[in-house]
Amino acid sequence: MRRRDFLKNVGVVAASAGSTKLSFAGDAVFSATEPDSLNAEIKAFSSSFVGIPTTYGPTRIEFDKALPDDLSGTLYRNGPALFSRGATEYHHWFDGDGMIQSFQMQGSTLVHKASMVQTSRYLAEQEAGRFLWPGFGTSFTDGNSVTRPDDMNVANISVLPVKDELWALWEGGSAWAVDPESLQTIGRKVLSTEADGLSFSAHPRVDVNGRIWNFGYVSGGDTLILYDISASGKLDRIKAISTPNTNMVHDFAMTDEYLVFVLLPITFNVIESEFPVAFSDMLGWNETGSVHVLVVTKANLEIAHRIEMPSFFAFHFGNAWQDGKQIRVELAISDAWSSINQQIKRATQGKPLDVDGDGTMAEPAAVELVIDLQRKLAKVEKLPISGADFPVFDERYIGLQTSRLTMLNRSGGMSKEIFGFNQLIQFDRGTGGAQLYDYGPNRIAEEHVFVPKSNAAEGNGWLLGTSYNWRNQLTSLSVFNAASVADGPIATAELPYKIPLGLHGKFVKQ
Amino acid sequence: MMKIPTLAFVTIFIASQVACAATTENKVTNATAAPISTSGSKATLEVTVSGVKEQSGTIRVALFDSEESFQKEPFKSIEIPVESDSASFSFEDLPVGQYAVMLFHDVNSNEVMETNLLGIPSEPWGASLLGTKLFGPPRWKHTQFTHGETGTVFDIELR
Repeated sequence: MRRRDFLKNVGVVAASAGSTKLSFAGDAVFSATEPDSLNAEIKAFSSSFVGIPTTYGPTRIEFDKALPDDLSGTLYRNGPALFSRGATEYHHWFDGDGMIQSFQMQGSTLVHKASMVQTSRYLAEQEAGRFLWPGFGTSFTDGNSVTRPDDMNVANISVLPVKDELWALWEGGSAWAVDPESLQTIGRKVLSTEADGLSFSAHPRVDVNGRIWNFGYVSGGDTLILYDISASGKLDRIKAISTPNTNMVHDFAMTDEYLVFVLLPITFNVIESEFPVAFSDMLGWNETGSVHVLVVTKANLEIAHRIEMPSFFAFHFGNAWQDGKQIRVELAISDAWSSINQQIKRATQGKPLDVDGDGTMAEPAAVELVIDLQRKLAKVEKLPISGADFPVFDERYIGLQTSRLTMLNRSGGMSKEIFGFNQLIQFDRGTGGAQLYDYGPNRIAEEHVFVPKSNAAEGNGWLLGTSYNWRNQLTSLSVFNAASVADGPIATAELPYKIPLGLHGKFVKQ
Repeated sequence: MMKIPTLAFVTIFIASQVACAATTENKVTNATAAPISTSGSKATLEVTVSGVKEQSGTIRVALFDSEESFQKEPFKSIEIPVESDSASFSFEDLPVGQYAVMLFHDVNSNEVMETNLLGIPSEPWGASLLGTKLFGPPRWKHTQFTHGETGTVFDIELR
């Protein structure tokens, strides 16, 4: 079932949209009708991966305005960066070897640097001068065997600061430890013998006491692995639980009492072939399947509730909290998996997106999943912002009700030929309204992280994020006051180069 | 008693039913048939193990003679000391037929193959793959080979 049909069928409750403030970035608008311009739009996304070095910087540049003292620290971001080696090429965004970006900021100064995560795979392929193992979406007819998940690990999705280390996260296998200062790879994290080499998701949740909660999944194995880790990185509990729909699980949510999983009817069928086949080619969608909502008690890691509901596709979660006998989960619902996957492949390869057919650019939506623990029902309620993904919130209040939810969005002014987002959108439960900032048609915006202001109330702080101007092929870092997104950035620093479009990041205060 | 090196692991990305190409052509090409010692319907199986990274412990080898007994009850087993970055072993006067070799490097000499929660080996292991590519755990069809009257010689690289 497509997302729109689903929303219709379950009787989406659309709240009133409230007031929407909007502003635009000052980048010049180019005509999209010229053939050269169209070609540039088609290659806008993929151009960010062309000619990327294996390290950047340190490059010292100035913000156009000084930052507040409270905002001193470092934004770390991870993302796929290396897409070709010798005669071998990756064709899917999620394939690329991970590169850690470090944006160290203080006053009006920004120091940028970046390094590839040197996984064992990366080093072996560097020596071989070619890619050897299949990626998420690319395989090689003369590729190597895959006999453990880490054979394919590219550590390219996100980061997690833990004590003196930065963990570069993939989701199919181990985290890789990186030195947060030098960005040198320290090594593969083995949390225990039991946990050695297991799937470890790229979206761990850190509770108000600093404990790290995470999960892993077993494709074709109907198993989730749950991790309870101390703030210093010591694995205190690990448990495997049996449940359907664990073929691909990207994110989860957490209240103070529960872990909440939304398990999608993604199928996994091994393809018989003379060479190892790419993982994404083994994934499909069960049209008649349902979503399994799993509520796990943190105290004993047991399944407390399992609720089935009509299917939808979702990558990312915002906050979640308990509201009497209900759990409310912020969630970005997307269009069908297969169309998103196809669009990502086209965008990565610089091929035209399917803008008319069934593979129309995914139209995500911000929703709340309302889980009624007493009546054992789950329903979707639409939030008054649409077309959004990459949700962030004030993580000091994880598991408790938060008012502000910030996401990325697409404006009408963004060419349909371009994959990605160009707006920052913030929903405020207090006012019921939304604020927008539009980066204009020439920029692709990446995830903007929330950085809280010290001793300030929930939702007060800054939003930090990069955007890639595909016209002049330069990347900028912008800082917004989280209370006034529509006013535009309070400071911006433009790098003297582009960096590859990435996925997720975390800010570490000084 | 020799412990069976179990490799029945399930992994993320890797379903338990995962099967990969196991072409007979590969096996014939890669297995070097050499006239070693033939005596009626018996011959020698000679295996060299390469890729030993740690100079400690032993390599525990299990030889299986049927799909039914694969990874359950070895037809023969052997334990060989680790003294360099490679090791070798042989089974002499082995009746001709279908066999599979599974082995692991028992680095800490505790007689058990260390695995994670899901059974994925954390100690180096190898199998008579003879060039077969895997996406997942090795099964009988990936590892079985024909042991003929002229004997069989091949290499197994630890992974």
